[in-house]
Amino acid sequence: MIERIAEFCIRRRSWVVGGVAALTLVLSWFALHIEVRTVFEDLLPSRHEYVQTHQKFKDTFGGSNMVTIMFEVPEGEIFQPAVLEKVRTVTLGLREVSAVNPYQITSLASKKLKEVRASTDGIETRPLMWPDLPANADALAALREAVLRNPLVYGSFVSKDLQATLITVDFIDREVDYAKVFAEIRDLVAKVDDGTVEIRVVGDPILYGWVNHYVPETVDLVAAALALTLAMLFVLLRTWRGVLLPLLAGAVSAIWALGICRLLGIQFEPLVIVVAMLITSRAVSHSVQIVNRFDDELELLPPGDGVARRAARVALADLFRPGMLGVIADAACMAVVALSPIPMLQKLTVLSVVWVSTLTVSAVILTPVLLSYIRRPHGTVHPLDLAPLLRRVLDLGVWMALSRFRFAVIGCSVVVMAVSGLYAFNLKIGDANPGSPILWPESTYNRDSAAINARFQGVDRMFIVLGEDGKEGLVKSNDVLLAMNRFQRFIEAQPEVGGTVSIADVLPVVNSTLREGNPRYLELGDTQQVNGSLMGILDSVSEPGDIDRFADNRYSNGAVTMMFRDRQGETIRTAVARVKEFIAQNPLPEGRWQLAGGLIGVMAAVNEVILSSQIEAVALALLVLVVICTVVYRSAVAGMLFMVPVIISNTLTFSFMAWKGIGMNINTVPVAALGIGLGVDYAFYIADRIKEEIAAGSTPEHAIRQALHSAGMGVVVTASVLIFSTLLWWASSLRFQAEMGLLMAIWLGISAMSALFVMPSVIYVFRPAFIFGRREAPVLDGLRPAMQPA
Amino acid sequence: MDRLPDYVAARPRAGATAAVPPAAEPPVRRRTLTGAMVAMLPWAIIAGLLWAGLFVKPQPVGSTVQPPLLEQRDHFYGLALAADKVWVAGSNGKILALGADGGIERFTTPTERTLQDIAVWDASHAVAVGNDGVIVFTADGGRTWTAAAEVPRSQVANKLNRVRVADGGVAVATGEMGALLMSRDHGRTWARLRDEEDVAWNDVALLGAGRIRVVGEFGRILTSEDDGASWNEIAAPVPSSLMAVAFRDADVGVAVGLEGVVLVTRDSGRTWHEADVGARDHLFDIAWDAAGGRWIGAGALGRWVTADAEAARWTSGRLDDRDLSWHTRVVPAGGLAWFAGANVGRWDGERWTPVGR
Repeated sequence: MIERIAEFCIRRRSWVVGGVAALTLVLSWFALHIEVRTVFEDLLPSRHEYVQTHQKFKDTFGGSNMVTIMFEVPEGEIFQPAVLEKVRTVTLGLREVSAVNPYQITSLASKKLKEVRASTDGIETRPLMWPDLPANADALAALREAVLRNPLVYGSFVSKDLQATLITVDFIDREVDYAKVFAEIRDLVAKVDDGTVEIRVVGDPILYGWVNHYVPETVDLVAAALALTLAMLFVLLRTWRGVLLPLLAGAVSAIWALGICRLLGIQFEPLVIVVAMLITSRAVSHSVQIVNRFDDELELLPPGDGVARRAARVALADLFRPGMLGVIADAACMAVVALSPIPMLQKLTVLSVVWVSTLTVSAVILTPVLLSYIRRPHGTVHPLDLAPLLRRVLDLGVWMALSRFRFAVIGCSVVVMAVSGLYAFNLKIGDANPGSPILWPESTYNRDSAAINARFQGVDRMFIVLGEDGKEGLVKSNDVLLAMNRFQRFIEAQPEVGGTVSIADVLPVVNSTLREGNPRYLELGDTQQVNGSLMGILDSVSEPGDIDRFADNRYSNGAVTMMFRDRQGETIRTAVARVKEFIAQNPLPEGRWQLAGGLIGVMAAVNEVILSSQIEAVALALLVLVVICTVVYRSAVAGMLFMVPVIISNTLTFSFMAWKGIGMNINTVPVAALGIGLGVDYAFYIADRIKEEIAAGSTPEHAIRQALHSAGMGVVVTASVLIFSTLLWWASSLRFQAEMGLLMAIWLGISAMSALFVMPSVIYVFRPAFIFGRREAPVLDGLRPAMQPA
Repeated sequence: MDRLPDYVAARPRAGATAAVPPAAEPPVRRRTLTGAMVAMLPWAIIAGLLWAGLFVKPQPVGSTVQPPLLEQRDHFYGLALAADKVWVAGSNGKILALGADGGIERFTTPTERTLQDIAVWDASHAVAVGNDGVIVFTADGGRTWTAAAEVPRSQVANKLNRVRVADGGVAVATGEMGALLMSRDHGRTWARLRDEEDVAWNDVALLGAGRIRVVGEFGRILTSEDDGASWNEIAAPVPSSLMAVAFRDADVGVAVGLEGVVLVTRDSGRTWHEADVGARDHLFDIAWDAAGGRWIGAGALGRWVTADAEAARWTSGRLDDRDLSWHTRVVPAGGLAWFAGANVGRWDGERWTPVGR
């Protein structure tokens, strides 16, 4: 069967090449038009309870794309005309920024920050600094006092030391274009930035804006990694084919994948470039294996006409099974990620499954077909021969497998698997450190974020909702108000929660104001009657929109908003656990508690989804791998055998992540999930080659030596080349990419080592029947009648 | 999905036949139990993976948090010196003992109502009053607190604002709806001194020998010379509410109130004249500092006021330029003064040192 395919491809090579070329040409037009951007809605698991609450209430209680801008004076206080003027300019300017929700701009200079005051007619509310700036020193002093008196402003919008003030702005989620918002806000800030005031900007649009900002640098890194890969291939393989064909394989599959995704309407997320690199590295690996096999074959054939054709046919036929198996196993393991309810991961899965699947053509078939065209295959381009050096490594592998050391290898592997498997349980879900893990700790964004969190109650918000649709006025009820108040007190005990705010904080101010400012009444009333009338008074003095951030306009749902100083997985888990603990102890007689909106609410949902599907992802990917191996080799033992390198590389990589504090979050999950299938390609080549040699009549020892020196050479070459080029990513300004680059390098290194050193030992010791047992005809029988092992 | 388990269950036999014959081939081995188990193992692993993949869903485990004794939202309306500690009473029925070493201890109290004031007789006896007419007392130095039973109540409102104590287990509490309650047994039982009326009495001074001075809303002042059996109302010298009153001796006293009002009497409260302290912030408390020979008061927006022993020359200022918290209680202690309210702290005349946070 495989022979016939090989025969066919080589015989009809013009058709094959022409077809691939035509298809590539068509798809490249689409590939060039693929959209590169982060679509926010895709990051959310839409069926999760928290996300549903978030979607329902984000327009009133604050979405997850809130941007916070801090103005900070190095000396003195912010109550200076020049500083307030800047705040006002930016506040007004924000209305022009695209996708801004104009009702959700809050600052000293907005209409939303108000003071409740007693007057001759009872009480009134008036904006602190709207529409005009304080005209003179007296007005400035009055503003300062008004701020200090106001617990909803002092500490929340003006820092306790009066050296900083905030502007918060929210966006209409579905219209947000991070790159655009980032540029517009930076321009706006640059307009007022004259160096006298430190202006810091944080929020998800800014964070992802930074990611986009670094896209050119990322492209440079891709180019550099590519150049290094090609240069190293050139040096190691000493032929042009060894450089050009892997390059072509990578390019063709990239074009196909991106083109198909454009056709399917899937956009390309900048952070996913790492995954693209990962898959391209597979293309290079497969292609190099085939070129390498071709070169091996050439050495055995005398120069002459049709040599290249014959060698290419052998390479194609011989590597068809492990190559296809590797590609299909990769693709199938990746496909498991599609079970995740997060649309971004689903789309990414489609992208990567398509991409990996294209390798079946671009690497496994196209490379040998093109090899068959080579006119003078013998000879090298340069005299530097590093092969002897690499062979020493391979000899080490042979020695390990054939000497008594093999038992030590197996023992050590078991220990490594057990220890790293246990250690891997320390892997954190969610962000493992304060600040964004996407950027380096010393990046502008993370420094800005730390500065704001140090001065204020916290940048990132979560809201929970009390109430029920249709129950008008429920929020005004005593039960709900008292529950809010108790809840706020309870949740603020967590140090990472900088503060909370709800309508239950506003009523005490009204109450006290009604009582001539007597602080003994700075509390909710005891009875429904009192609280109802306080609410009525508040209603009568507030304008439409004033109450929005606390309750909907029918008062059937009210929010408690919590400010978080960091967004670490542990912080969020603790907060959610405590919220649930409180709810369990304080059921509402009417209405219900609804978790949880805002950025932290959404992150809690994503983290829960990731956690609950973590075992699922690993187990099902392994299952898929085992089933595929079992089917292909018609042996359940084969499935077990190939689990070994996968388990080793996964437990070690997870341990590394746990050790380095790289958490499992929406950005790392794809890389980790795609890596599951990655560990096994190299093992396929080695094991399959051993099987072929045995089938051709070799002794086990000779088969192992032969396999390591042919397939093993391909493994050493590709692994070393790819490890070096992925390590280049360490230079990235995006910490996420740097860490993922390192992670991939480790992954490649471990899977290469387990293929070279562990697999031969395991095979030699356990002698699985599917390799040693059945004497089926080797694939190459028909193609290589003259070839016999020495 | 349903078919998957069938598939797994159906396969082992096929797997056994695939895996076992080669094993039986070289040196003919019997089909032992071990052999069967080895053959079954891969399928068991596959089934295990399938099971784990479909059914193992880890749930998040979050830790819990022990709330600090001094919480962000706590207000401490009352403060008293008890032996070597400072007791504060406030939100949620909380009574804390602050040690000189910074240690904080929380007493268990039988109420969750906000406590508005606390007063101490001696090492074992103390009383605290608060919202909804709650009165709690201790007879063992704070270890146990008991709610006083049958405290006289109004149908309308029952917040008790202040409690003052005198020798012999005497205590008087003031509050909303004309509440003026007296106890003669260290806070165990209480009786009305006056009928209900729509005024809040905010503070009382017990001058000994049956003399009681009371201040309240709308500038109202009451005096009694016979332990409250009969009352005399002084014409209100100011319209704004008086929040606190204190006496240096039987004759000289000071009352403070909203909008910076300060009234001084030199004839035991029969006549009062207004003193100007130069600030219009609300004042909530006044105290005679016997050791320092001065008057000291507390108010809104971090305001303090002090005066000489004759209450003639007043000075005023803010505790801290950046801490505009209100304080409803000031208690002199040695050279410094404790303030309690939106926060609790010490003030030595120069520096404001809040406790906790």
